[in-house]
Amino acid sequence: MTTQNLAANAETTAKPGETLLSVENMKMYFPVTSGLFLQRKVADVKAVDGLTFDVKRGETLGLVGESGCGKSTTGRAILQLHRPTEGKVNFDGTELTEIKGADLRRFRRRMQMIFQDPFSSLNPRMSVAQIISEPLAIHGLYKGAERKERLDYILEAVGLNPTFAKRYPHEFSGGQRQRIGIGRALAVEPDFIVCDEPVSALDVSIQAQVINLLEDLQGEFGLTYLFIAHDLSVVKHISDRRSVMYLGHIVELAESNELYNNPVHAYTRALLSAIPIPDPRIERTRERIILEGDVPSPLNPPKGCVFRTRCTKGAGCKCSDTVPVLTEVSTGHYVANCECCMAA
Amino acid sequence: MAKLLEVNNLKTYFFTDEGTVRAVDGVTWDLDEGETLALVGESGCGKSVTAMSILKLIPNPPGRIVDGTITFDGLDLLNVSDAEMRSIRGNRIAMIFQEPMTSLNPVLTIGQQIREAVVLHLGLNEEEADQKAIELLEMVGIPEAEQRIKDYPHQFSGGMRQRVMIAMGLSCDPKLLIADEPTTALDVTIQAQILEIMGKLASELGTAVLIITHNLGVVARYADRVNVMYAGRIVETGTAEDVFNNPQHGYTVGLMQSVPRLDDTEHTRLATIEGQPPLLINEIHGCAFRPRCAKAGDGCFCSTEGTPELAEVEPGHFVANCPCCMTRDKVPA
Repeated sequence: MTTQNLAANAETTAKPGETLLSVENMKMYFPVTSGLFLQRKVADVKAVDGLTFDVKRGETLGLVGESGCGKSTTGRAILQLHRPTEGKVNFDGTELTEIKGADLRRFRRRMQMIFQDPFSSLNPRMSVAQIISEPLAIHGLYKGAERKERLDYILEAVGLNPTFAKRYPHEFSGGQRQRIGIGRALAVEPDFIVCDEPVSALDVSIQAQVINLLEDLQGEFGLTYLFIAHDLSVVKHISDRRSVMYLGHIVELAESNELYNNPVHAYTRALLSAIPIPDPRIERTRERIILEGDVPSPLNPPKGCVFRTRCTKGAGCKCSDTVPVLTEVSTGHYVANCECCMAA
Repeated sequence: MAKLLEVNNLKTYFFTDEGTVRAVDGVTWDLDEGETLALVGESGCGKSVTAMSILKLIPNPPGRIVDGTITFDGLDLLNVSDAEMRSIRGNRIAMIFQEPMTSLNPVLTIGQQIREAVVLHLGLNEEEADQKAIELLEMVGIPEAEQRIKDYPHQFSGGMRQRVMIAMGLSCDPKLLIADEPTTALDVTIQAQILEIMGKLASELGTAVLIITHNLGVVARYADRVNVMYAGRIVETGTAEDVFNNPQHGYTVGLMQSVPRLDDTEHTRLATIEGQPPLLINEIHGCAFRPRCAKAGDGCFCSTEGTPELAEVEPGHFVANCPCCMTRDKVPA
């Protein structure tokens, strides 16, 4: 391997372990309109409704939740692919919600994304070389002969043979395509990568390969990940801190194994108990908390505690009428302070 | 217990322009009455084709069952007439599909769709069928069933639709229920709901279940016995306890080690199985797992001829006897 550097560390002011990204009360509403000519706004889909969290440089923050809870919207709103309705997104000292155009594009280089579906996220008419070179061309990096060198380097870094550069996406398997997607994100030397369900579309033996690759790249290039997934076991494996989302809110956030060893919020406990462990000896005797019903619509979320419609207490539910805020229950362990949901 | 289903040396091939795809290549297994058996493996290993072969739903052409026998309740399924097969499907053998969004007809009400099977197989009249549909929906826990039978599939959520599928599957009190990835498209908390309901009803009604999944956790929780499939063949079969606690074949071991577990206490690097499953369009000689064998380059001596037969390593626990794959490092029990 050559001595190229993947992360443009010179530009980054945050040191490893310091806050790289800080999100404050971020809200992302999508308007629902009605009428043919005069598009009146009739309602809002509250996809993300007031999120506050930090991501430190070099760490992986896991974001877990069921479909429709706002995980992917959170990732996109941070990258300003959707402009947040309200709130702040501070990346390495710059307020992203206040910049646009060329200024924002400069930051785009430092924040990349890896997508879920390796089949629809690569242009079938572009060769691997074109796919990985395009972001380099856009950001004016590695011109001329250096670009070819860079391409080979990236392909090797993600575990693909550089001779594959002339091939097209359909010639690759799902796992290899996901490697191409990772290569495309890495090419522009980012600091921060939003991994949006990067392994959910892959078979288990291939999942392990991609998870290991992501971990290796993080170690090698000091990357910071926001890892979005619905699979708690995967998030547990890869993340330093984990947060659980429900209906646009973070209900619990904790460091290391705390979330798994001492879950506090009723939703977290139900979610953990719903995951079967691949060992019949443990699994046959495990107690499960089965949640009733479905996730409510984000068009009309419950007032106050969003979990109240599925509260495990049923008739005896005393979920709060005011919107719960994240409260620290032990060092680094935050829970939405609904008294009803927090009582064991 | 009496054998309900016996599959013997089943081979289902697809004859395409590019060549012959050996989707299922000589599998032999059986299922007892009231038992839950899991078929586990990665995409393309022949799990679903096995299930479709039992119901004789393989599209022909290009697919054809070229060899083997399937005996269900004493009946040789491969030699019954189409009319007879139709009276078995949905009646004595029912199936639940993966995708609850596409397996229900969007232009018929839920009630009409449940009624269809019970009118056809049980000979009920309209009124009785309506009553039966309401009972079935209540059984799978759909509130206000009397109103909901008039609703269309789009008015139900994913989990609710899968409940409807279960209700339809169990409507004629089948002896065998085939569930092909019944919860893969659903969220985890809904997955748990659906599997609990399915497991509870199957044991109440004494229905045997063939569950097809790639989720090892689901297998550990619900299956009595497991067949691990790889490249159209069974590489390991036994009780869930034996297969999980004492896996023998290299592929089974690799599969178990490559999933992160919720009860892991320390962060360890995931073990991976290098490479990808083989393309079934090329005929496989010898051990199908050879290209991905952990000993590759380091003295792999997987068999290169014939197909490894299943050998019994402990009572009821069979492994494809490739001497190389069977002697890999075992996971600590």
